[in-house]
Amino acid sequence: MKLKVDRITKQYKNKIAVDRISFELTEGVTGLLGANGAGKTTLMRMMSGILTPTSGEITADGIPVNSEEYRAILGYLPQDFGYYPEFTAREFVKYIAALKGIEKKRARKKTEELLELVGLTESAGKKIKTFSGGMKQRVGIAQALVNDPKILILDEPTAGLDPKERVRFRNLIADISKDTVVLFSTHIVSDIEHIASNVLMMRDGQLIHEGEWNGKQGDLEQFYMEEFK
Amino acid sequence: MESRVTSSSFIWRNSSDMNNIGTLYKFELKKILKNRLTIAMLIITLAVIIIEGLLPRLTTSREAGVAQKTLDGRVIDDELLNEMYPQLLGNGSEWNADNIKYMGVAGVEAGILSDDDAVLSDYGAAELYEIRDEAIVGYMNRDGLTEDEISWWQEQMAEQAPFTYVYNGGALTLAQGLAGVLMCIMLISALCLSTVFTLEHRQRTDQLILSCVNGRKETYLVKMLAGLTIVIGCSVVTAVLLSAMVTGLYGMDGLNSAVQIEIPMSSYSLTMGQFIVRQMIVMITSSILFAAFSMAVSEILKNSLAVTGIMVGLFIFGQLEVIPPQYRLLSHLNAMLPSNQISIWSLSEYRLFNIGGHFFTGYVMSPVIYLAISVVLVIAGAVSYNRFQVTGR
Repeated sequence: MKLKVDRITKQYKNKIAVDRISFELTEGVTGLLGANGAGKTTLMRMMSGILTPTSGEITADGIPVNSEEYRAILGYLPQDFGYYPEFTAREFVKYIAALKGIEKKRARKKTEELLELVGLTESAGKKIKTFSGGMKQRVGIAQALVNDPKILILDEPTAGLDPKERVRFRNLIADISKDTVVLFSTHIVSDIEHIASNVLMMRDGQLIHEGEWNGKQGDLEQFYMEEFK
Repeated sequence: MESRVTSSSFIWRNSSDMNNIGTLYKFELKKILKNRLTIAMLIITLAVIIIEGLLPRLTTSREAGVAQKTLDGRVIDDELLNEMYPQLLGNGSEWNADNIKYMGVAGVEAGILSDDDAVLSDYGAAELYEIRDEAIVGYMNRDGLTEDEISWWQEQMAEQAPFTYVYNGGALTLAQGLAGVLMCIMLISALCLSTVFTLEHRQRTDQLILSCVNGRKETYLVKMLAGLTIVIGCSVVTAVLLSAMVTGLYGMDGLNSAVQIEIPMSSYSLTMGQFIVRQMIVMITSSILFAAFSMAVSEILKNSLAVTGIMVGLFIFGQLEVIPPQYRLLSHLNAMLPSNQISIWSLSEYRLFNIGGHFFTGYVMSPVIYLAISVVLVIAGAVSYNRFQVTGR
């Protein structure tokens, strides 16, 4: 799968949030780094089809971002995502499964698998309003994976997770990324430095770095700090 | 089975799509019914039904109804009037066990004369019906009816007089109760359904929904369907409950009573039963309009409070008779508001709709108009929903 972002721009009145960004992603984890207000969330929203770009194109193997076909292969975890307080974790994931068009029997099976994967089997029948921040975030991760997405967009997915959960989540994403295009935005360099094969860095709506990252290029955190001095 | 997405093995169209729509529908119903405001409004509606049903029993004794029923089937003619007049006390304002059976008949006469100073016993039946006919034509002229419209009504009214008295206590209680229940349905729509879409924006669940394959037109339609189910369900259940309560308490003997026994100046050739059927049609279609308005406009404005304000404001405005009848279009529009159209006073509405030379009453046109407006609102809401962009936050 080739996810192509071609000269994408988003302009709000006199502010350019994303400025003519182009890149291509394939299977594997791509880390998206940038300070607050750099345009990461705007870019991810456009890549999730919930925000229309002012100009430019986003396609996955030629499928346009605003099509049903694209949404069918997409998994998205927004930053600060919402939930229904009266729903249980199980109901919430099943609801998203129905939204993603998954057949009922398969949705039931997949929901249980994912809740186990994110360590929520014990709490699956409890209302989300009783959950801690980390548990809510794990529900969010489960819903993003319920359709076995080919494109997975994760906007600050590790926010609220404790160190043990972060490691578990990193391993999960590393495993999924073998046959999935994963775009992972974070402030925390350590979240991606061991799993990202590719790194994008944004500042003021522009892409200031794009390229592969491996151990040979040195310490990613140090590089990041230098870029954002 | 045809696959919609060839690169994915987990999305199917056809039967699984219907499954998903069913599942989404259940979840949307659950979201609405889990809302505390919905539960509170359902309890209030139940209380209104009980109050509407019991109120006449608190103000009129069972014996009074039984006494009035003894006159069932009697034509209101000189014979009955002359039998009644010697029994009247205080020109028909004081009732006791001996004269209570004439209360309904005296009410018909007082309704025709509509003059507090008129002495009931001064009038014979023929004079009374003549006064009625002249007064109705006077009202029709006041309301700006054309000669053709007046002629149309006069044809309808030709066989109405003399009236045959039938006690209508039960039917009247049901008819008045339905108007009260409609107010509750309006409040359920305004308070509970105006958040169906806005809650998703407020809770930020919209970004999850919109990024899903069924998150656009399917979700919009399912949400609309769930909201409509709630209000139509409430309308039907409340109508059945109220009917059962009224039947149990008062009986339904008055369904075959002419509407003129309650509203003597009505020019409709309807029985109370036929009027109640029309009320129920108005109630169901009004419920659809309320639900469509509440959900679609709240999605367009992205503001549930504004929608609640507009709906309650329109309801209150409809109750105030602030538009003079000489402004025919405006006052006709006011009369067509659901709260007025369901009221028993809609029986004294004379203005007609002229479509291609054919005249139609409000009871025929209001359901059509309510449904047409609902369709337009649902389409406008769909456009707004599909154009929505997740920004800011």
